[in-house]
Amino acid sequence: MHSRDLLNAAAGHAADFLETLPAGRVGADELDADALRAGLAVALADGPTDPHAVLDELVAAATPGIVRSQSPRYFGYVIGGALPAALAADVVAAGWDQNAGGYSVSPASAVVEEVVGGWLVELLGLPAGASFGLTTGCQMAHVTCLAAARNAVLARAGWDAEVGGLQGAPRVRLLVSEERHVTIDRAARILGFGTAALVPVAVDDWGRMDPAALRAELAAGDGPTIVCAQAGDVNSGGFDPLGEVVEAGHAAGAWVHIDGAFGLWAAASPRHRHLLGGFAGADSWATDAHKWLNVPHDCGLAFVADPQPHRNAMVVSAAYLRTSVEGERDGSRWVPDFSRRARGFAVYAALRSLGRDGVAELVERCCACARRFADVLGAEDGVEVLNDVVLNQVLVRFGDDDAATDAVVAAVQAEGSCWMSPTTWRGRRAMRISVCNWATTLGDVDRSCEAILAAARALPTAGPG
Amino acid sequence: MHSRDLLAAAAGHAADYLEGLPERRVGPAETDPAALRAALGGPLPDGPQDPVAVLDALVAGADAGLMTSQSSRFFGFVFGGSLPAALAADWVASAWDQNAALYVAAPAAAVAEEVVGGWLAELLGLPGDASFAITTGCQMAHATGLAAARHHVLQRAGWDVEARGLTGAPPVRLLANGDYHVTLGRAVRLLGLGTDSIVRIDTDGEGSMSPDALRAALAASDGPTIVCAQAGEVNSGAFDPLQDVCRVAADHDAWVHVDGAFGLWAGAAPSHRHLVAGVGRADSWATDAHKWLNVPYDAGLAFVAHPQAHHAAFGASAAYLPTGARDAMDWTPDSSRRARSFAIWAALRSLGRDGVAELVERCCACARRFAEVLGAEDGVEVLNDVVLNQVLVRFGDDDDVTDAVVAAVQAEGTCWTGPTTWRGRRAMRISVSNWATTISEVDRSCAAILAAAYPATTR
Repeated sequence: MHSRDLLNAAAGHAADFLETLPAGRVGADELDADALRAGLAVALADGPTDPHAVLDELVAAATPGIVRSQSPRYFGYVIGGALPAALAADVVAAGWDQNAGGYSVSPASAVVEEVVGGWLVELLGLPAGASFGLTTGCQMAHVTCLAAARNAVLARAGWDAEVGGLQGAPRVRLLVSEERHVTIDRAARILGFGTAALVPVAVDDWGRMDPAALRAELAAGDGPTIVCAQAGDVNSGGFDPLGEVVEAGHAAGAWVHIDGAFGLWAAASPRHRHLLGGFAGADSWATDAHKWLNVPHDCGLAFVADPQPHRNAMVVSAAYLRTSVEGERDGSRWVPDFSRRARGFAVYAALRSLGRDGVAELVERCCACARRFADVLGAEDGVEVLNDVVLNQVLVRFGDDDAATDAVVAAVQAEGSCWMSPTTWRGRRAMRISVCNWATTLGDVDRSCEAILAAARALPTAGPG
Repeated sequence: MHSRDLLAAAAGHAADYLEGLPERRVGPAETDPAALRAALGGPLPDGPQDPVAVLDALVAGADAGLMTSQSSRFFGFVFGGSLPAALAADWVASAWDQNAALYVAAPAAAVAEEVVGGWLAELLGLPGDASFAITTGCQMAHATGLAAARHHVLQRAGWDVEARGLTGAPPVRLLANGDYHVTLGRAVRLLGLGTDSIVRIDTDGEGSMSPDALRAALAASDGPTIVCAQAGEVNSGAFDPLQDVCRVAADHDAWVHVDGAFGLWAGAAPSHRHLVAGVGRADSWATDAHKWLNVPYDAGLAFVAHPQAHHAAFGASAAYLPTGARDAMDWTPDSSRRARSFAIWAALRSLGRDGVAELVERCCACARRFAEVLGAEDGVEVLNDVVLNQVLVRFGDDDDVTDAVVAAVQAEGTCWTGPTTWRGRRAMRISVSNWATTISEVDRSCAAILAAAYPATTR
């Protein structure tokens, strides 16, 4: 039997952790793998251990190695936290332990998934009638969308990719931004295109795809073609000119896929929607819910304008499974996964707790925080903001020097008021600040700026001078 | 900020659900999508709503549409439940909300993952130096194992599939158990190999691959070849003769991938280990942790005997040898991902080696009890050799009668089983894979099944 005491104990441990976040050190206390192994790498026991003891032991051994990415002052990568309602829903969903593979094996998760799909299509301004899938993350959302693209562009060339595979197929070209995210390359490998199929398209100084370069590449080849554009560069937050990209791609008969891991959420903000231009004319879109929507890991989202190739690419049937029933949506028929966690519950709770206005406010607040970072840090001598802060990303360079910049990042990580990672932008090292946590406020930004500037001043080479 | 009260409320809702299971009707109370939409749908609200109200509304709206697959009398599909320690660990993991893609983003999750990888290889009798991945499920574990296989067999043919892709590559043949699971075909499609590359190898009456047929197929052509064997047929639970399959494949330099979604766990039970004899000689293995190990959804497991090929297929970094810190995304199709390792760690720690063996053996004993009790009745036939946890039962030797019994059992609600088709005949499919199932739950379920069957068989 499950014990209420054990579940209460788990909830207590969770609450204890979360309550340390506002004031606590950001980042993990222990990064050394051997130190963590000392607690976690016990020998597999022969006999059983009481679940309470297991829970306490896990919490004690793992906590030093937990990165407090849920902190409102964690600005590393684009990770996001977990909204209270979403976390609560995820916890209940684990208790329910549904296999959200099909309607008949979990009607409630199937309906919730269908509901959130509709809400998200509307919220993100995607074409009504677009199909969707809830994946682990944007990586598998790319795989989902590009599998649909593969099916569609090869079908137009008279080839059934599902049956014939790629081995004797017409060669497919993928025209991708020079600044594309690595997950695009991995998706191309998984799907059997290979990285040689990727044709990099030149970008401008802000990392935005050059439409003239795209048109030239489109004209330089023929045959089945997929264009991969970006909404929100992973470093700069820059947006490709999506309207022009879509127009050029479609004029050449190409499928246009948009990587909007976090940038797609600009569509949910009236103030930032303009960044996406004509994005709604594309053929597929990939994004994350565990980033800017702040649901617990993991949940990505794939959308496809024409459901047919999406269905063709992911369909599955078996003797012991009910065939698809009209009006009942089977979640696994739209994603690469089969048995799967019911991710829809947390997304549902996030969207209901925020509402349309709350999502817009969350996006706009994060962008305002990013601008504040740029304003405060950029005002200091010797500190340079390298990007046009159009969204939630800020790239900061110290003393116009790679080593000094890395030293500031390391000092900030060590001090612990806030956490951000280093990156390289257009050949120069930079501190990369990403704001996407529901709990981050301007107060957190000001506190973080003080810590960053204090770290910079303590390093003579780093300025400010 | 997060409220302790909100988490306590969530814990209370979950505990209410779980405490209600022993006497709750098995199966969803409401299956009409329109009714569930009425409870859960509606337009996206404009303004915010209090999280406690959201939680309460979700629980109220979803409850009737939940499949009570955590019940100790749920025998539909091979789903498993969740062990108390695993569920508790999964909750804490949700709160920690780690992105377990990279060591630096989640050191504790990375170390826990490395630890359970070692434990599991040992427990399942796989090579100690095998690489592994934690995926969403066996579907993506297939995609992982077969991506490593694709890389390896094409590399031997002088072709770098990661760079050059499959267009123009030497054709890859997949020789698969003729009763292969649908997820295998789907993985083959996802990877761009196409279902035409699959050659079905004949199986016997139980669904076990014939080594002679495999030998003939291997001899029929050379070139890059992947053999897909099964440990635990999804209907009958039958095992391919893995020793022979691996030996025959080795003679032809073929890669052997084993689909052991649930059957691989026979390796953890001394009384059933003989079923997977020779399994350690294969090249890759796929299984689920959310099935027989009873961790919450979702977690699958892929193991690969050739870490270099595995890393070449997924790695983002250059070096494949462990450098002291393992980046999980170098081994899985996913990038950003949940920290699934904590629940697995807790499950294995709470059961121990003997506890895993006992869980597997008890489920198999329950399956045999189903076969004995039901098979002893006139007009009731057990269609398979019950070697593991699967029982196929036919009523009145008639498709319609059998479907009627399954429907009546589902409607009555003491237990839940699904229908299937086995060798052209309809059958009730009973799968036992829940940590909480006991012989007495089986007896109670048999009584309900037979009560449903008698009016149906004598009509």
